[in-house]
Amino acid sequence: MKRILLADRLATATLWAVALFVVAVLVAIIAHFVLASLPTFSLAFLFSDPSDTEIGGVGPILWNSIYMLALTMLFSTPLGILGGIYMAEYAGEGRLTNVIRFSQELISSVPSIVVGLFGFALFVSATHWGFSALGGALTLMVFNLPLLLRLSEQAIRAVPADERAASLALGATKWQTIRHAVLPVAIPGIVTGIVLTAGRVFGEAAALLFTAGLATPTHYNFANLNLFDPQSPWSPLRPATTLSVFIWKSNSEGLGNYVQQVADMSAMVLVVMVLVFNLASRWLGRALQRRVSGL
Amino acid sequence: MDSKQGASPVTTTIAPVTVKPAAPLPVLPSLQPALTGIDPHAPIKLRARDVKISYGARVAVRDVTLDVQEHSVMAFIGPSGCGKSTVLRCFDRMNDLIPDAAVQGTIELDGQDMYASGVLPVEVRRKVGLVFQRPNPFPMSIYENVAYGPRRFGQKDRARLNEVVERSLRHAALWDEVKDDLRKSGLALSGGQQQRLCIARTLATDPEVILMDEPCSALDPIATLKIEELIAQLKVDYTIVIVTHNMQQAARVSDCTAFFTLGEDRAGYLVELDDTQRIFTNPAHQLTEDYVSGRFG
Repeated sequence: MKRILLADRLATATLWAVALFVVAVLVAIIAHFVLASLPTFSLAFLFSDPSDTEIGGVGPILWNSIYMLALTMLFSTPLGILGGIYMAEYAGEGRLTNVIRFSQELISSVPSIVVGLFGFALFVSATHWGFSALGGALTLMVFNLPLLLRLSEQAIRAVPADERAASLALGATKWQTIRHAVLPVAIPGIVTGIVLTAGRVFGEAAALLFTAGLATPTHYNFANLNLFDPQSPWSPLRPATTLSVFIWKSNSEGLGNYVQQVADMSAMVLVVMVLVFNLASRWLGRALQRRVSGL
Repeated sequence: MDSKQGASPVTTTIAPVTVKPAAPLPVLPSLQPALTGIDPHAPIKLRARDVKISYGARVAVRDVTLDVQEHSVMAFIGPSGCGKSTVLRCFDRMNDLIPDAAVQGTIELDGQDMYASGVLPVEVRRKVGLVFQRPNPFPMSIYENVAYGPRRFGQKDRARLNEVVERSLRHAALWDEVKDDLRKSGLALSGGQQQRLCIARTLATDPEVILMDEPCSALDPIATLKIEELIAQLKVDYTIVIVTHNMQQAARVSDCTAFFTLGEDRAGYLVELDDTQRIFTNPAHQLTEDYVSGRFG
C-alpha cells in the first residue's frame, strides 16, 4: 500500500515538475529580454528611426512588420476560411481529400528558409519585383495558409451536427446552412486561429530574408500615399525589413556601438507582441463566443 | 409540388392500414374504419408503401406501409433500434444527409412521390417540419430563432417577420413567457421552453406536416405535459407524426399508433397500425400485446 501511495506521489511530482519547467522557460525568455533592455529602453525606441551611431529606434521596421502582417492576413484569411469550409463541409473521404491533407501537412513542415528560397525564385526573380513587401507577404501566405486552413476546418467541424440538422430541417439549403447556422458558431474559433497564425507570421524571419529583403529604411513619410513610390511606407513593391529579420541582421552584421542593446530591445518588442497576439486570440475568442451565444 | 388532390375521400374505405408484415408473420385482418377514432373520409396526407431503408448493405427497416390522415396524430412506438426514427426522418428526407442511406418503396405527400427525381429535399422540408429529440435552438436570440426559416425563404420585410414571429410563438404557447425579451438568447430558456421555441421555429416555416422525434425525452413531466397539450392544439392545423418511448404519451396524444419491432434479421419492421385505443386495449398481434403490457422491450 505504501509503495502504491509513493508511486502516486512520485507521478504527481514529476508531472508538476514538467509543467513547471515549461512555465519557467517562458518566464526566463521574457525576463532575460526585459532585463537586458531595461537600462536603455524608452518608448521613443518604438517610434524613432534606426541609427548607426546612436541607439536610435525601430519605428520604420516595426511599421514594416505590421504592414507585412496586414498584407499577409489580407491574402490568407479569405483563402483559409474558404478552404476550411470546403474541407469541413464539402470534401468527402477520397483521394483528392487525402492529397490536400497531405500537402497541407507537408507545407507546414517544410523549413521556412526553404519556403523563403521558393519565394525568392517565384516572387522576387520570376516576377522581377526584386525584394518587396508584397513578395514577402505572398511567401508568408504560402506557409501560413495550410495552418490557417486547418484551424478554420477544425473550428467549422467543431460546430455541433445539431445546428446543421436544425437548419436543414427548416428547409434551408446547404450554403444557407453554412452561412447562417454554421459560420456564426464557428467564427470565435476561426478568429482565434487567425490571431494565432498572425503571431507566427509576425515573428517569422527565415522566409523573409530572401523575399522582403534586408534593406533598412531610415525614415518614412506617412503622408506619402503614392503606392508606386518605393519611399512610401504604403507601397507594397518596396523592400521591407521586419523586426525579426532586423534582429538577425543587427546581431550578425550590425556595425554600430549599440548593436547588442538594439537586438535585445527588438527581441523584447517581438516577444511582447507575440505574447499579446496569443492573449488577444484567447480573449477575442471568448468574447466572440459570448456574443454569438448571447449568454 | 403543390397539388392537393390527396386520396379521393369517397373511395378511402380503410383509413390507417398496414397489411405488410414480414413474410413469416400472419397477415392482419383488414381494419374497419369505424374502429379508428378519426374521420375515415379525411384525406391521406402521408402515404408510405413497402418502404425499406438500408444503410449500405444493412437493412434498417423494411415493410413499412402506412397512411397518415390529415389533421391526425400518429404515434410510432417500439423498442430501441427498431427504426422508428429512421422511418420518421424519411418523411422529410433527412436521411439524405447520411451518405450511404437508401430508401426503397414510395412515400407520398398529398399524393406526390417525395422521392421522385426532380423533387428537391429542400422543397420537401419546407412542407414537412422536424422537431428533434434534444431541444436545439440556434445560439441566437429568440426572435432570430423563429425568423430563421422565413428569412431563408427570402422574407426581409420587418413587419411581416414580426408578425410571423409573434404568430408562431403564440401558436407554440410560448409568446406570453417570452414576449418581453425576444432579444434574449434562445439558449437562456428552460428545456421545455427551448423545445417549444423549436416548435415555434418549425411553425414559422408554415409546414403542413410536423414530425416529432421523441420531443419530450429530455424534458421534465410538467414541460412534457405542456408539449402534449400543444400537440393536441396543433392537430387542428397540422398533421403530426410523433416517435415516443413513452407509451402513456402515445396513448394520450395520438389518434393512431404504429408499433415497430426488430425482426430476426435484425431489421425493424412495422408490426401493427391501428386506432390508438385498440393498440393499447385489444391489439391484433401478440408482439404488440407483449410490448404495450410491458412484457417485452
